[in-house]
Parts: sequence; C-alpha cells; structure tokens
Amino acid sequence: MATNNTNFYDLYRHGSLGVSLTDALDDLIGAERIDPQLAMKVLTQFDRIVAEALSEKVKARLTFKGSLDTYRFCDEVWTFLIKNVTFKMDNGAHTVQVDKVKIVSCSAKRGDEK
Amino acid sequence: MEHLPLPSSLAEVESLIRALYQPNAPATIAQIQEVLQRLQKSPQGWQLAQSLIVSRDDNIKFYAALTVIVKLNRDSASLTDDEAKELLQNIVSWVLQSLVDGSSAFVTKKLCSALITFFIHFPHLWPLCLRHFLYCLDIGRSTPVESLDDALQTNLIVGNLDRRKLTVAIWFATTLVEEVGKTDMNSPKYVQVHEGLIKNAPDVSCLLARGFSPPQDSTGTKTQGDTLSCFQAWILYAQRVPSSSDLLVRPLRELVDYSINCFADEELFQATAELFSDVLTNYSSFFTEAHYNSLSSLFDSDWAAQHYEQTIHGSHQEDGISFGLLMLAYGDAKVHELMARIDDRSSRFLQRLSGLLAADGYLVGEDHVFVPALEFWSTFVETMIDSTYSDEEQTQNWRPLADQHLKTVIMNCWRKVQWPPAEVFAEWDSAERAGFGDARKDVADMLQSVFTLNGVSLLSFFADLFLQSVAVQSWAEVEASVFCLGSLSDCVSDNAEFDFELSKVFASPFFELLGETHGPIPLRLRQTGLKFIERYCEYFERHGEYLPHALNLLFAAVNDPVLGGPSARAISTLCSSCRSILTGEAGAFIRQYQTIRSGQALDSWAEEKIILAIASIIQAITDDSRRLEVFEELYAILRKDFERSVQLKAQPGILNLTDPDFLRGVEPSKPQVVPAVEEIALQIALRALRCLSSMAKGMQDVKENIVDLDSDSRPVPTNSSFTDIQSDITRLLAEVQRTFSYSGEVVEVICNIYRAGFSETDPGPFVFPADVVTDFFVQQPFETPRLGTLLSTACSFIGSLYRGPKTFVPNHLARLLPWVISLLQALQVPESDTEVTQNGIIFVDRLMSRYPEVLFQLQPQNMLEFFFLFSLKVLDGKEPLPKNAAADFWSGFITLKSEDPGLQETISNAMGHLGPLVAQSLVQNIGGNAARSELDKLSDPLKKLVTNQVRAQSWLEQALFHESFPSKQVTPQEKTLFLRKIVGLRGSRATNQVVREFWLACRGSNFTYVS
Repeated sequence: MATNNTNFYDLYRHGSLGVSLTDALDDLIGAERIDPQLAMKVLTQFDRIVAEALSEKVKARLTFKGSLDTYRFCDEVWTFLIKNVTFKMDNGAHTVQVDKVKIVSCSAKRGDEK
Repeated sequence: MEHLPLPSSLAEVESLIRALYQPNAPATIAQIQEVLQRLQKSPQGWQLAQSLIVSRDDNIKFYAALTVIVKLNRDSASLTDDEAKELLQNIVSWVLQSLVDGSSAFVTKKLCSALITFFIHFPHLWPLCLRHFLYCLDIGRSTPVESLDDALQTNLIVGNLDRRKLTVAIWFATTLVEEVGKTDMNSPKYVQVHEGLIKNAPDVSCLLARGFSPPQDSTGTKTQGDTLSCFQAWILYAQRVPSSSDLLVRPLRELVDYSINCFADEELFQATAELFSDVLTNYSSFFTEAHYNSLSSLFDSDWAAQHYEQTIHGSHQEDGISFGLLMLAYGDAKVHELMARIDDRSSRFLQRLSGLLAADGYLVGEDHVFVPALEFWSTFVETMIDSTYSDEEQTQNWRPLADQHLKTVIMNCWRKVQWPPAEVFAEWDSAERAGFGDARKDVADMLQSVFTLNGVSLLSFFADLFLQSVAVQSWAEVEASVFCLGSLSDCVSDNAEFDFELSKVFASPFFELLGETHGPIPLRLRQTGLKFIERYCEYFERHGEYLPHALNLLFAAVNDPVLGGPSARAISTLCSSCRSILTGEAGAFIRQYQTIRSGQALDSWAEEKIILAIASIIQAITDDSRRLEVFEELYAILRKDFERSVQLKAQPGILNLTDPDFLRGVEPSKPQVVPAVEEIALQIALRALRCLSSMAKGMQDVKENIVDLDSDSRPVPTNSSFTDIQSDITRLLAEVQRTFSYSGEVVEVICNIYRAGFSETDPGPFVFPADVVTDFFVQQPFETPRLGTLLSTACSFIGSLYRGPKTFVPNHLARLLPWVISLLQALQVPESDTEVTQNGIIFVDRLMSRYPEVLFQLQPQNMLEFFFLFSLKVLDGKEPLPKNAAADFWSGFITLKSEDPGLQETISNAMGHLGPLVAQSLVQNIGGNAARSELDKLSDPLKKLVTNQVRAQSWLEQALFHESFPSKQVTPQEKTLFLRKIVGLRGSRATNQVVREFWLACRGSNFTYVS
C-alpha cells in the first residue's frame, strides 16, 4: 500500500461514488461556494481514502466462477474479461449471474513506488 | 464582524500578538487575527518581522518568523536577488541568535521553516542550503553564500557541531525534505527546487552519520531518535523521486548500517523497527543485498531470539508487536528467496514466521500478530503457486521444505480459529468479536489458496482432524475442523476422491452430534455444521443416502431462535439443489411445514425459505396432475391466510391472539407489543404474499431452455391445467390489493409474484396469460402506491412478451401504452416522481424499438405529442436517471426506421418537427447545463443525430447560435469549430471527447481541475 506521502490511483473517480462527488464539486464551483483548488484537493483526498478504505475497512467477500475469455497485462495493468460469471456472496445467501465481467487490476504499489 | 483599526505602534502590535495567544473569545481572536494578517500582508510586513524578532517574548519571535513565511509566500517575486540574499543572511542570523538567547525550541523550528520557505522560493540563490547552514552554525555567524567556497568539508564541519547545533541542523534537514516533498515534483515551477534538494543529499548523509553517533551525553538518544526520523523522511522522499538518482539514494544507503545499530538501544528499538518495516514494505529496493544480509544475521542473533520470545509470549497490548512486524516485512521483501533457498538460516527464519501464528492469546483481542502473519503466509502460498506452475521445467527442490512449513502454518491456523469458551467470548467487545470473525475468514481464504497446491490431501487432513476431535469430544476442535472443511467447498468438485473424504465426515456421528439440543454440543458447532451442510449441497445430490439425515436435522432446528434462519436457508439450498430426488417427499414436506406453522411463531423470513424449498421440489415433479395436486395443497394453506387477513380487516372483532394463525401478524420478537387490528391484518396478508412470492420463485424452472427469438412457430403454452388456479391467484391478489389499497409493500410483492413468471418458457401456475397481466396493469390508477415499481414491472413484462409468440404482442402493447402515458400526464412535473418518469420513458423506448407502429397509432394523437415534449423536458431537466432514460429514448428515436413506407413517412415527418428541438436540448446540455457525468450518455443521441439525419448540421448550428445558449465563455468561432469536429467525426467514439472539451470550454477554466 502506498504511504502517506505518495500518490494514489485516480481510477475510483470513474466509479459511481467518484462521478457523483465530481458532479457535486462542479455544482459547488458553479455556485462559487468553493474554488477549483479545493475541489482538486478533495478529489486527491478521495483517491487516498477510497484506496485505504477498500484495503482496510472492506471485509465483505465474494467468490466467482466463470470462463476466462481474454486477459492481458499492459503497462502494469492486468485486464481480464470473464464470461458467464456466477458470483457467490459472502454469506451464501444468494448468487448473481452475469454474462460478462471485466476486471481491471493495478498493483497496490504504483510503478514509481516499488 | 467589526474590523479593528491597524495598530499605530510596535508596542500595540506586540500586545495584539500576546492577546492572540491568550485565552480569549473566538470572536476576539478572529478580530485580532484579521488585523495582524492585514499587517503581515502590507508592504511594511518585512520591517514588522525584523522589529518583532528582537523581542524577548517567544510568542512574538514566533510570530515574526511566521510573518517572514507569509511574506515569502506572498511577495517573494518583488524581491531582487540582492534583497533576497540579505533576507537569507538575516534569517540565518536570527536562527543563530535563537540558539544563544534562550529562545524556545518552537521559535528555532519556526525560523528553520522560514529558511526552508526561502529555499523553495529561491533555490538558485541557495543551492547547497544545508552545507551553508551547517557552516554558519559551525562558525556561529551568518555569512554570505559565496563564502562557502572557503569552508571545510561537510563531514569536518558537522564534526565540530555541539549537541544543540547538531539537533538544530537535523531539524533543518527534516523540515527541508518534508516541506519540499509537499510541492508537486512534476510541476515546472518546482523542478529546480527538487533538483536543488537532491544536490544536498551528500551533506545530509554526513549530517545524519554524525547524528547517529552524537556526543555522548544524556540527550544522545534523543538526537539519534531525531536522526532516525530525518532519515526516514529522506528515504520516503527518495522513494517518490522517479528513477531515484544515485546522487540521492547512494548517500542515503550509506546510513543503513548506522541505523541498524540503533536496534541495540532499547529506547530506539521501536522507532528503528518502524523505520525498517516501513522501508521494507514500501521501498524494498532501497536496501542492497549487503543490507539484507546484515538484517538476516540480526534475525539469527540471540538478541532477535529474545525479542521473538517476547512477541510470542508477551503481552501485545503492552509491548507491541514491532519485532514481529519487522520480521514479516523482511519476509515479505524476500519471500521468493526464502521459499527457494533450502539453507538452514532461511528455514529457521520461516519456522519463526510460522510460529508467529501461534502466539499466546486469542485472536485479534489479545494476539495482534496473527493477522499480519497470516497475510505474509498468504503471500508465501501465492508465491509457491506461481513458482509451481510457472517453473515447470526446473526442479522444485524447495517444495518439500516449503510444504513442511505450510503444514505447521495450517495446523497453527486451525488452532487459532477455535472459538473461545462462551464465558470468554461474552467478555469481548464488538470490535474484538468482529475481528475474530474476520480473521477466520482470512484463514478460509488462505486455505483456498493452499488447496490449489495440496488438493485432496488438504481435505483429507481436516476430515481426519474432525474424526480425531470427535473421538476425544473436543468440540472447539470439531468446530474448527468443520469450518476449515466448509471453507473449501468452492474448490471441491464432484470428483470421487473428494466425495470419499467428505463421506468420512457425513458417515460419522456428525448428524447425531448436531441434533443434540440438550448436551455439551456448543451452539457455535451446530451453526457451523448447518452452514457446512448448505455449502456441500451438491454432495447430497450425489449421496442421497445422507439427505434425510441432513433435512431432519435442519427441520429440527427451524424453530430455534438462533439457528432458525440459517437452517431455513440451508433447507432451501438443499431442496433446490436436490429437488429431483425429493419429489416423492413433497407431501411429507408440506405436513412438516404445517407442523412448524402450528407450533411456535415461525420467523417470516425462515418461513419464506421453507416455502421456497417445498415449491422447488414441487417444480421437479414430472407428472403434471400430481404436480398440480401438491401445488394446490401448499397453496391452500396460504389461501386461508389471505382470506383471514381480508376477513379480519372487515371484521376486527374476530381477532384471537391465542390462535397461531392470527399471531402471524404480530412480530415474533415483540409478542407483547400488539399493533392495531388493521395492521395485524395487513401483516398477515403481507406474510402470505411473500410466501406466495417464494412459491413463485421456487416454481421457476432451473433447466436452461433454448429461446428462439425469431421463431413464431413456438406454440402458445397450453396452461389449461393451471387455468383455474391462476384465476384464483389473480382474484386473490386483486382482492388483497383492494383491501389494503394504501400499502405500497403489497403492490411491490404482487409485482414480484407476476415477475416470477416472466422469465419462464414452460407453462406453470405463475406463468399467467399475457392478457391477465395486461389487465392487472391497466386497472392500476395513478393513486396506486409504488407506481414506479409497477411501471418497472411493466417494462420487464414487455421483455417477456418479446420472448414469446409475436401474434398478440401489438394488442397488449396498444393497451398498455395509453395507460403508461396517462400516468405520465398525471404527474404535475416530471420531477415529482422520478421513478415513474424514468420507467415510463423506458417503457415507451422498449415498445418503440420493436413495434414503432404501436407508438404512432396511439390514440388520441395528443398523447403522443405530450410524450415527445415530456421526454424533451426531462432531457432538459436535472434528474440524472430520467435524463439518462430520455437520452436513450431519443437515441432510439433518431435511428428509428420502418420497412412500411407509410410508417416511415410518419417517422420522418415527426423527426422533421422534433429534430430541431432535440438538437436544441442536446446543445443546451453540452453547452454547460449538463452535469459532467451525463456527457457520455448525451453524446449518444448527438452521434446518432449526426449520422442519421441529413439536416442535423443545420439544426445543431441553429441551436449553437440561439440566444438561449447557456454559456458566454465560447466564441462563435469555437462553436463553429465544435460543430465542424462533431460532423467530421461521423458519430465515432472520439465525439465523446470533443463534447467533453466543448462542455469544459463552455463552463470555463474553473472546471478543468479533474485529471
């Protein structure tokens, strides 16, 4: 895991939480309630907190099975395309089936920090 | 807030500063701060700092240093080089003065910060800042930077420094790297600052080498502690520098041996261990092989053995686990070598690491080292897997030794996951309990990885442990064995050798043990046992001989307040999985259900699961008449509940709470709280509805049937055998909805019951004829609660119609469409119910995609006109989900084509009228009105417009130059360029980027902050 002084991936900004946060920041800037520098700091903080929360706080798990269709490793990023996937939740309560899943995974340590 | 006047004398300023640091009302402090900040920012700020610094009061001197920092940050550009050099000399002289005039440390530190601020603003004037500062400290006066040419070598200078000066120099070096590290090293503005900092690395090395061997006096340890902190700050900085240059890293590496020596000092041990753990974890390439060898020797020493013993047997709460974490960090950094080497030292080290999983005390609350140690061993296992499957050609002589360590690890984990006695567990707080549970899940994860390597032997290992533990009646061990076996359920296939191992467990007195409700068997073991049965439900499909034992056990536990839920879930999983071998027992299951019902108040959720289980067995009965017979038997039970609820609502006097059938409407956990009769009636109805919904789910076919979307020849399901029962169900549902017309939950569950049949291809009691479903929808008025859910169900119904025979589809759609649009018309504004708006638009979109003629034949015509304008209004609105639906609708509409010439002409005419309005709406959004997240969605109809409509360019042009265009930030030329790009891209993906850039240009530079 990256340390206090290091940068964090900004890929979670594209998730629904990050997108909603960015919209909210846009609204605040539009209403002249905050300036863009603060918005930038908020996003940087978001990158850090999401990474930390996912690493430390999230305890829910699931397992999944499917057919690996394509995989690649490019620029330190693994990408897997899996078809006919069955997700089994942690408590075994139910399963979820989907046709296709794309998994993008990056090293917890960024390239420049190894 | 009232502004204070600016002070007229230095004495007044000083008195304000003193007042600032006194306890005062927040408003007073804010006023003082405001006036002092005005002074700092004024042109006289420099003189003010100079005058204040000679004060004898530390607070005033501190404020003087702060003023210098503020002035540097605000006005450094106004200083000439000569003025800046003079300022530098002054600040250095103030630092030196603070060392002799008895100033407090915080004053000196603040002045050091002022020097660093100077360096950040003028790196070219003070390139070797540390060496110059050390030189000034050595000679005791501030000298020009140029005089550095005559200075001694840095190591000689630092050798001359006394303890106080050495400490100040280390503060300076620490603040220097920390403050520079806060600036953006990729920004051109700070490139020179970072380059300048790196040039100071050799001098830092000299300084810290001296800091690690300070003058021998009582404060030597404190200096070494400061030195360690400074060293750590520099390493962290080096880690962040892209392709760390030798100029920076080499001098720092020379200090590693000094820092290793700090381990020996008990007072410094903690800080040193943290430094090494941190660097090993985050920047393992910083250390050279020689350093790793030194650390390895250290771990093999008596000193390490002592610390290790303390970690294993000491109190983690009081003594910490720094040494354990240090070992793990080292192990993590060298995991591959440790695995691959078969020398004694590596083996000894791994043995100790596995021992960390066997420290004294219970997991998490007392034993803090287990979880990080388990993390290491998970990495170790992953490394073994990688090496095993990627180095197939090479001899794997490391494997036997690694397997041996792994065996110890598994054994230690098995011991650790054992639950403590109930009285110990009761004393734990919620965090400790949750931590214990999470650690068990971590163990389960690791076991799954180990399974990849060991396969059936791992299963066999735990099955044997189970049998041994049962023999000696060690219940905690039995539970741990069952837990570990259960954790492997996802890995185990239907292979005979796996079944053989599992049969060892199921053929043992396993079921008898778990069935003992009054005896020594702990509740935990029974819980884990039930989960274990559920996890291996596929095993029971192959070994039906154990199924009765399993089900008897589960049904016996249904009424248990703790085990009821898990056992009901297990029953449902098991029955669903083994449905085809249980069909003969369907009647027995129903009788069992009736017995449970008539006994204690059964939990509603558990009851639904049991109903689901029975229904899935009924579904598997191959004989139609027998299936219907059993179905009716179960349905009759629920039917009575429905009738009772309706009757109770009409005649509250019949309520009898001694009757279990009425008690179903009272929360079992709160039997003493009796709600109103009407509420009891509603709860009885809801419970019966949910059970019916479970029945509907259970009756769904699990076979995968082929759906031929293009075929029209598939016969209409002849569900005549179900006609009566279906009529009865729909009549009952209608009556319940009418009786409890105010309940949204009733509507929601009814929708779920209808939905269950939508995905079915074969006839069944819940596969209602399409006209029945259509009738259900069109009878719902606007006042029905959860209208959004109804519409969403109607959308699913369209999907189901499309999968069936096509003949009658247009008729159903033609009945549903006016109903949907009338609901939208009844909304005052689209935002008043976003769920209705969104699902209404989705419905029309789905209908239009396959049957556009139904849309254009809508009567009266003004309904269609209303809908078009409604969806444009939504596209102009701010609600994201309806807006997305509207964008999808218009994407579909723009590309709409028909082979029927008459219909095609209608579509073209409509497009001719609506095209300019759609273009206007899109341009308003892209011109700045849309939220950033909506741009991709809005780009879709824009791309479709460009590629499908010849007049798109002129429509877009009109919209771009219309007076209502929302932004004044873009010029007409930019608008023209945007249009040219959009048209030129012909709907390709790059349009999205062009749209984003134009939106940014319209919004202005304030919105470019997102990377």
